[in-house]
Amino acid sequence: MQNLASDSRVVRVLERRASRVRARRDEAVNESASPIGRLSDIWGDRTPHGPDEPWPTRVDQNVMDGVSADDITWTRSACVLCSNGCGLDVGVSDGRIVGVRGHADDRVNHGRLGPKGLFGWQANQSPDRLTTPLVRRDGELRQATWDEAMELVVDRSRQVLEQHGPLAMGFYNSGQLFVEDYYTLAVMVRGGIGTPHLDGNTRLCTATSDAALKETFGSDGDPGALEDFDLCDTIFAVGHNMPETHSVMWTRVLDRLRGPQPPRIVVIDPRPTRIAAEAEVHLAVLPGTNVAVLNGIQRELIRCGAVDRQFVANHTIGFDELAARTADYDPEYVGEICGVPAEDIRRAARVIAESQRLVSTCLQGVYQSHQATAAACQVNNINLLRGMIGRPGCTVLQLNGQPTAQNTRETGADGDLTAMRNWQNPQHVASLAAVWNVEPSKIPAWGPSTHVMQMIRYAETGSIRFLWIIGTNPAVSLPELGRIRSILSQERLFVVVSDAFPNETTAYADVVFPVAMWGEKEGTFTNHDRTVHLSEKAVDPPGQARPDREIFADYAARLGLTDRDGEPLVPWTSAEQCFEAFKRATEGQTCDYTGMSYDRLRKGPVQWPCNVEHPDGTPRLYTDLWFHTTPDICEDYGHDLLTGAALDRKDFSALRADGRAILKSVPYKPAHEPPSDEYPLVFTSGRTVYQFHTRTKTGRTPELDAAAPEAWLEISPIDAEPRGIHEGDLVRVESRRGELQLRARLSGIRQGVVFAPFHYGYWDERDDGVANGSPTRAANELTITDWDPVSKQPVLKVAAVRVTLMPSEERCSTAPTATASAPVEEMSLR
Amino acid sequence: MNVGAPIEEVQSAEIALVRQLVQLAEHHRFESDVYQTGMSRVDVCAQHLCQIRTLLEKLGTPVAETADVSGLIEGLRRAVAAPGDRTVASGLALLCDLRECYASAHRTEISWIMLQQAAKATRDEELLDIANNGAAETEQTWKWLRTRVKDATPQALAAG
Repeated sequence: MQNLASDSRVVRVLERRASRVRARRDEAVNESASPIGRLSDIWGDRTPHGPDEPWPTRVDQNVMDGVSADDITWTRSACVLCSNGCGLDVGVSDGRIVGVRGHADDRVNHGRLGPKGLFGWQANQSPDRLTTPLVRRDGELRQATWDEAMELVVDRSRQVLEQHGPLAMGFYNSGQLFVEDYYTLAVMVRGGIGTPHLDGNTRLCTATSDAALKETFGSDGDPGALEDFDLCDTIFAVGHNMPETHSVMWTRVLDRLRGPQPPRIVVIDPRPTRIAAEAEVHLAVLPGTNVAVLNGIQRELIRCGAVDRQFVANHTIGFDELAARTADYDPEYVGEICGVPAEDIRRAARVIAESQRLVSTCLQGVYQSHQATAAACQVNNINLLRGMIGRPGCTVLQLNGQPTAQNTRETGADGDLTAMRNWQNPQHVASLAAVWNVEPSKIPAWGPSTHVMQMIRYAETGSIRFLWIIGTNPAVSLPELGRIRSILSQERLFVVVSDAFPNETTAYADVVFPVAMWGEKEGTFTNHDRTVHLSEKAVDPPGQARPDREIFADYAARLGLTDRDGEPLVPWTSAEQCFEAFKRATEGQTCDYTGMSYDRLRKGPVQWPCNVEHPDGTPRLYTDLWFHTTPDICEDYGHDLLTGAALDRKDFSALRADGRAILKSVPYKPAHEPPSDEYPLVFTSGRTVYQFHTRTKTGRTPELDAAAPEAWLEISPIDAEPRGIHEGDLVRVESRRGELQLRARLSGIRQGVVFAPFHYGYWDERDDGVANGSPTRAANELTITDWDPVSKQPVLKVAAVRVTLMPSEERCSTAPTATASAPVEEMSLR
Repeated sequence: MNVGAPIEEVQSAEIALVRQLVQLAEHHRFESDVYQTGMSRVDVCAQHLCQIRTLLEKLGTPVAETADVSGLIEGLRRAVAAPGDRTVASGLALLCDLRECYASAHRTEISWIMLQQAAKATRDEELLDIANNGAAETEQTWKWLRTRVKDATPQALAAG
């Protein structure tokens, strides 16, 4: 690896920070590396093991320098900086958070924490936390009392409801709240206000996971458990930069890779990620071609006799159509579409064909594409064709990005109906209405809940007049930011924002509510393998900040939302009461929580369903190979994957799936914005291990900020050379919608594709010669307004761009070097 | 039996559907999904028209001059490249255009069904394959249109 001047600059910054942090070691378990060392040694020391041995414990912790162990009290929680949900304790001294330590006995992480978990808690104490409500007066946001701010929001809500009705009200929430926040919101919006305009920013991260699980298996919920990584012999990772997006999950896999009988790995990703470096086959496909390559792999599996015929015959439907559909996708044809050697496709299929215990994973490389649900379903198909689901070491994991994304889906704070009910099934709607004690017609179930891109469109054309944005930052995270800014700044749109920090979105707010963060409130949340953790309150929120649940309950009460007996619709006054209410909504549903309680969760996490039948939870779904594909149980009747046409009960019944999984097949279609002479490169965006989302927390964490302080553009030396671009040069990246000005990182990304991280916005622009007051830092300046027809997940992975060299006095890139953005020698053309 | 007549009927229905879909896509280009999926269904129709051309040429029947829809598609691409006001609400107009497309897609589907029946009666396997595919893909189109109408109607009609 090249030793760049920029790296030494980062190292110097880190060394200075290091004096503030010291390592603590737990003698009872494997020693972990010093926390500061974990910024470069991201996954820490190895504890290798084989498939027949449990994953050893290694407790990671990070405590502020100068705090005595005797002065610390520990409070149970889990990490909220990715969807793995690593169990940890929050250390408190003198009323403030002073550190974290991994839970040795938590089956999710066996004590480990990633760099974000080790350091990110410091953001809670950031000096720029919002501590009082703000109300816009004379064009400026000014401090106000809770009464003033809340009455203003309630008055405006009443006015909009009277003049325009509930369809003029929109609510756009997060993947960061707790069950209790989401459930209160869902009850308030669907059971009280009666608008379908409720979505989470999980639409950007996990909507396709949800959709693909419903299409194939009949309902949401990942079938497997994280322990399947300990047991598998093959991992198939599609569009999933596991080492950076789920760093502790990758630690788990690394420990297998360094132990006896390591798993074989096949990776599909246009970038040279660390998992790609460990893979036996790496298919660096062009973005937007997943369906083609997955069809090609399925064709090979069928052709070489790797299909478990008995499993497919007994437990699936749709095989003949799948075989016919994929027959034309021979490796040569697929290789041409995807830009990879045909032989590599054969090799990939061979590895999967030889597996006995296969774990397949998907993430945003699949989910943020134009054929997102279609591609995710093809990964489900591959496990089904191999008969590898519902038993140890065999599963597909349609993963999430955010820590509590799963809960937007379970509570119905996104496009789903509470507790995985089917909005097209009147009995499901009626049972929910009974739980809420409202008329069934009150619940807007005449269609699917409105996805955020449609809500934004309604706001753009003026039919949504009130938009409450909760714990998310659309002014950085939604596509085509120039458009988003113009919509949010409309006079006719009343914007309320609940957040812990001022950000790019609060700049457009009429009212801002300060909220309590993780560690400052009690509640539960669920990770991607259905594991529910309790997170206890460790410290008081700063100033007048309040938990989201309390804010919603206050609003619902002031708005006079009642049930059909005139009683308050949101009667609960504590998190635990709310959890008990949510449990009642899940009774008998696929995500049954009724066997859990706060007291039970204090003893450790539990995987749903958890009920009388499964009092200790359920490690794996579908162990009896009976899937949720009957008309009365299924959460959705499914869609045509090509057009998004919704099937109805009649269509679904005609499939006669009756408990068998559904193999859905689809032809590959090219992305909607292909490269052209004018815009010859494909732009794709993603994450770095050091930052999370729009850096609201990680950008306020000194160590993480120093490790990846600025956005960058990854470009192949092959594409850089003819443009006269060298490592560290300033470059302009232009799409039809906007431009970025970033430092170039010459990396091993495939030819024809460039990459920028999507985390960076404008709240902390540095005066480093790049930022110039115009919006040229956020990746979504470039992205296109377009979404998957089934999951409605925006297409953030494919846009056509051109890249040109800009004049600049220095060459300096601060892009991380221990990850997928590692530099390559300029002359080492691939 | 003369299969020329039902083939011409399919041709005429497909041309009409393309025109409706192009109009839908052009009028509602700022409804991103309507534009993108609408255009992808235009491509499906264009493929159908290519197959019909081959069938008609084989029968020695003249192909309709309007069956070449590439000009229509080009015109649409030029039209949508021009700037426009995306803040204009299109609720009712969208419903009208979706409904017209839906009706047109149904006419096209029933034309394919007529051709299916003719192909069965004449034991023309090749024609039957084409007709089966045409009917199935047209059903896909109207099911999409139905879904989109259902999704768009509440906001267009019930939001004050």
